[in-house]
Amino acid sequence: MNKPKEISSWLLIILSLVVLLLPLSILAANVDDIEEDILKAIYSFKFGKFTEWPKTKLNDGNSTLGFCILGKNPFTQAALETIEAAIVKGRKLRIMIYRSGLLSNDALDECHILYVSQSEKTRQQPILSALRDKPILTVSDIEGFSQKGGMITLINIDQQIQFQLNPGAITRAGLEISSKLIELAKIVNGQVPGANR
Amino acid sequence: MAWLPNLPIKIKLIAMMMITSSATTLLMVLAIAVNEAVTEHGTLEKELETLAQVIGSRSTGALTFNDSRTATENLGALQAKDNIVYAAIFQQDGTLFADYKPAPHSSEIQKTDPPKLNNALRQFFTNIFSGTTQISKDILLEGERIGEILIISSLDTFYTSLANYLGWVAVIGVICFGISLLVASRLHHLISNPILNLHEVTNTISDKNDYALRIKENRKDELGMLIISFNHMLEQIQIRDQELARYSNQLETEVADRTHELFEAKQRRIYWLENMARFLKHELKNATVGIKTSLELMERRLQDHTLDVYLIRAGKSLEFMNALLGSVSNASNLEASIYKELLAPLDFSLLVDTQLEEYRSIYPDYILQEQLEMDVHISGNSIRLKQMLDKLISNAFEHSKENTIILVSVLKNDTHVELSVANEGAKLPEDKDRIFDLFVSLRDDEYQKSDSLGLGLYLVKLIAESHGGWVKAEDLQDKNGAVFTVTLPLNYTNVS
Repeated sequence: MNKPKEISSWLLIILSLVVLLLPLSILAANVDDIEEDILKAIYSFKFGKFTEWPKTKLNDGNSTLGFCILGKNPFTQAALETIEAAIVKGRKLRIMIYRSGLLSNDALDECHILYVSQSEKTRQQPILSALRDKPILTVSDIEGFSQKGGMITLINIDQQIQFQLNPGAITRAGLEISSKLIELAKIVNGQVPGANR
Repeated sequence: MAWLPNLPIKIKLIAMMMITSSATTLLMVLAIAVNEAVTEHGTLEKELETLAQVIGSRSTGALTFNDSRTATENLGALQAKDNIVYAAIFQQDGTLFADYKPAPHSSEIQKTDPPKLNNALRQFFTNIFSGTTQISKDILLEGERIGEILIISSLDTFYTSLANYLGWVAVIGVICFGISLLVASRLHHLISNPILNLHEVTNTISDKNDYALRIKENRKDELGMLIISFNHMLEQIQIRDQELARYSNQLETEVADRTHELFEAKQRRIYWLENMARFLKHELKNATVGIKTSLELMERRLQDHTLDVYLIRAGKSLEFMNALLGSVSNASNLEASIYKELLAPLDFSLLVDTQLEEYRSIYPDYILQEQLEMDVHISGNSIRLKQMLDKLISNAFEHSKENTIILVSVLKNDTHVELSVANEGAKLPEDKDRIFDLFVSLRDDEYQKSDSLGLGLYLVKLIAESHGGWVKAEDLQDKNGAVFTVTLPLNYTNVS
């Protein structure tokens, strides 16, 4: 009867150590995530500075430029506060977060940049299909996002945020990307969104 | 600069043209060189500004997305420009983001074997410029400053370009100087030749007194006008000379005529005097002989001595008449012959001194004083001069107050000698100019001691004039009396 008790004592000690050590590891992981998170947020809205939208998209009567997040918000409050005062194309950035998988027409009209969260990884195909030919700059850190018809994919290589670019998707959407951005990106010849339907 | 006005006119003209053209060329070269330097420097700065603008613009993406590699590649494009010594891109906060330095061999190539002029210019301009120039420009993205680009360029290319330019300018300047010298050495004849010609003709006119010379010149400018005026002046002088010569000839002829007339009149007067004297002497002598003979017969036959006084008076009158006739005869003879007498060199002061000694011995009652300047030599007739002094002394004795000094002086200047005899006594009459005329006696009887025939002073005047001199009579200034002065030339030749 004593042996199980000893085992349980040892398990308790180990569990206690695990419980004690776990917050430290979680904390360390959060610090890296926060820095990357802020960088991704900044990169995402700065892509807008190198993007030309069709005049019809910009003549919408609004004085803001819509920065939409689709899915679970990956950015911390600090990241959002960092970018919310930014000015792009002479317009103040307006951050909008949509939880559902597909955007309404009103949302499509208001969004200029759409950040597709990791939470939408499984629904990225229908999302991209819905956005086909829409002048909305799609950005995501989902792996293979550009290959599947997304415009810009943020990737972390050796603790450095880099990005892939799908010029075909950008052109079809009626957007123009500055060569200054193109020369920095890894060009990906991705598929046409919805072409496999 | 005192030597400048003495240079030949052609040298002055060439120098003026050369100095003017050289100064103008130098100023032009300086202005062009300064303009070229400023323009070249401005162009370099403009080029750097453009490069900064282009590279900065190209690097906005790299700066935005923190891609220093791409920014470095962008800066690497500056490798094509040898003059760029450093370039850098800084982030918004001033942190160095990317930079560019040329490969070492590139600068080595620049530094090998630089031209000497370039080195000198570099040294010169280093004092003006820093040796490099730099441009920094903000990198903007949508009007927002996201960084800064800095480009530093060496001025070697600028110096080399300027050195080449100045080299060419110097060569062209030397060629221009040579051309100017050639043109100036040809063109100065246009001005110098007429002036030299004018100078030559004026010299010839001055040497030969030939105012018939003229300068041939067909030009219409100011020098041509000057030469025309000069020729006109020569013409006027020539005409005036001719007129003067004509007037001179006329005058000479007239003077000769008048001289001849005067000579003839004088000859006629002398001839008349001689005839008159001869006639009077002959006729009156016969008459006086008759009167004298009659008076002697009357004296012998009449024993009445009461009439003796009348006979004596008549005899004296006859003697006076004889004396008068003798004087007239002497005067006419003297006037006819005195101008023909030869003059010889003599010591005038010695002559006067000797005579005065003789007068003192003969007339001890008179007080004679002399003031003689010795060694006064003239040309003269010593007999006539003694005769002249006799007359002057006699005149002074005749009119002097008792126990007063008679002063005789001989003074000379550069050309003449003055013999003066002064005595105290009566003043001269108002018409004293007539005192030297023949048979004129104007003095008051107050001091006159005997009757005067008016012959003595006439002889004085005649002798003085025969020696080229003249006489004058003046009152004494400080007392009553008169002074008679004879002025004789030191060098006189009797032309007769």
